[in-house]
Amino acid sequence: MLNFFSNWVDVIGVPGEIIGYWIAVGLTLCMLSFLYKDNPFFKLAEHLYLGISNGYWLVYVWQAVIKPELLGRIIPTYIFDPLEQTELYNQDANYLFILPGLLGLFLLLRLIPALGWLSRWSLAFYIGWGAGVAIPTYMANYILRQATATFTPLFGMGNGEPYSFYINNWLIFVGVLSALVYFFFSVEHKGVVGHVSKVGIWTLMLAFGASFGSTVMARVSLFIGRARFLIEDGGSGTLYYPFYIQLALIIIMAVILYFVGRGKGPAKPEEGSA
Amino acid sequence: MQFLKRNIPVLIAFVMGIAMVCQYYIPSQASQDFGSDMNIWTEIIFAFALLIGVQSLIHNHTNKIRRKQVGYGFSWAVIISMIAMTIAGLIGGGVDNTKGMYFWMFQYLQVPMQATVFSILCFYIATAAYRAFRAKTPEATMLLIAAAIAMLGRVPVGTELTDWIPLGTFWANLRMEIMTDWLLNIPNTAGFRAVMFGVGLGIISTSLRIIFGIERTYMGGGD
Repeated sequence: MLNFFSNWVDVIGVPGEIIGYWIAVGLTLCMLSFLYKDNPFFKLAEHLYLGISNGYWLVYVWQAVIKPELLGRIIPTYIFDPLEQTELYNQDANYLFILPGLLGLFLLLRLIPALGWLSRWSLAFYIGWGAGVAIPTYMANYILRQATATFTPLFGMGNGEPYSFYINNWLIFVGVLSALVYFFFSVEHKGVVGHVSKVGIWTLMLAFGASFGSTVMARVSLFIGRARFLIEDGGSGTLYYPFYIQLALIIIMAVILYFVGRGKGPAKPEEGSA
Repeated sequence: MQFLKRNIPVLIAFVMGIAMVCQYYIPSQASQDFGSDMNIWTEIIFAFALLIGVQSLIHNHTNKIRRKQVGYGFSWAVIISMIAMTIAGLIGGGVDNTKGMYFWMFQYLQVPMQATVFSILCFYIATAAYRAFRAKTPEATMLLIAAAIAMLGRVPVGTELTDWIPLGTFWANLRMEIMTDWLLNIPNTAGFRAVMFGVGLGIISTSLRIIFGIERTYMGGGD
């Protein structure tokens, strides 16, 4: 039984890979069918994705966190293999790690209304940790480093750097300051402040435009990736699913959808509803 | 009881917040060890939080099945696939075992579905672009031009348009790929740097509010 799960690929042999690719193609088409409209094929794939993702994270959390970091630190000799994980097996038990385990269990007490308040302790621990980590990290990376990068170097032409280098630095300097003025709502945007904030808007528009354009292209490249997976062979090097078979699959799906949807007119408003 | 329910959580958040701020600025091995231990502690708590999510999902779908609500068959798909993936992972080994059923399911079921879901976003973002890129005002025109250059500068057909401009001259700055790089390196940096200042200050002030017990919404309602 263990061999069945742990050596699955060997147990089923090469057909397992072929079956895998066929399933992958089928599920990809099911997901893409949403572009037509919400339909049973998409719903099936969507629900399968939900279940499989949850299963994936459950196993991941058990194998990467609970087992090695919690149980492995409290009772290492029961968790680790003395031959394969000798160093971890021989480490001293750290009973302090019972505390995060307890806090984790407190979190689960949300499911029991009478004891649900204990989960606040765990949340407070987590949120307090996050707040404590965020203050110095954001201060260093989002404020100080950005300010330093904005102010250097603005002067020193003739030091070997091309003029465009200083012009660009000035553009960044002026752009950052003007955009900050635009975000400063305590002063009415009139007169000089209004003109500066206008420059800030232009900077932001260029930034958002460039960023949005890049995002569009990134999404298009994702779709190209899926299209190549369907049209070629998923990068496997062997054509397991010729394109005409996919076409047949799409036609079958369309026919099923036609018969499933036949007779179902547009949704009528419920009686008594406004 | 009120002390345990409302004051102790505020105290825990205060102690943890101050401890982590101090830990960052103390350059000693003990401080580093404390910081990494606390990171693991929070990972463990997060792992338990995932169980609550899974419980909620199972509860929701078993209810649908019990009441035979419309589409309850799909709820079976959720439950069965989750159980199958979990058993395959716990018995047959995790992602490290590339011959196991868990890895097989990850590779042939989860990866293609996840990639396709994200690729579908391409169509939605194209619709959003159609709505956003309307040159009604000078500012909107700037957005449109910047986006058009950024898109054209990343594809061969776009760079082909200005391929005839010789490199090494002043006019080379008008080549599509060079304009794209400039847009992403200069105005984009300036605009997002200003946004980052705002985000940074916002997060720091919210964190301070949490540490000093002014912000308590994480405790939820009730007593």
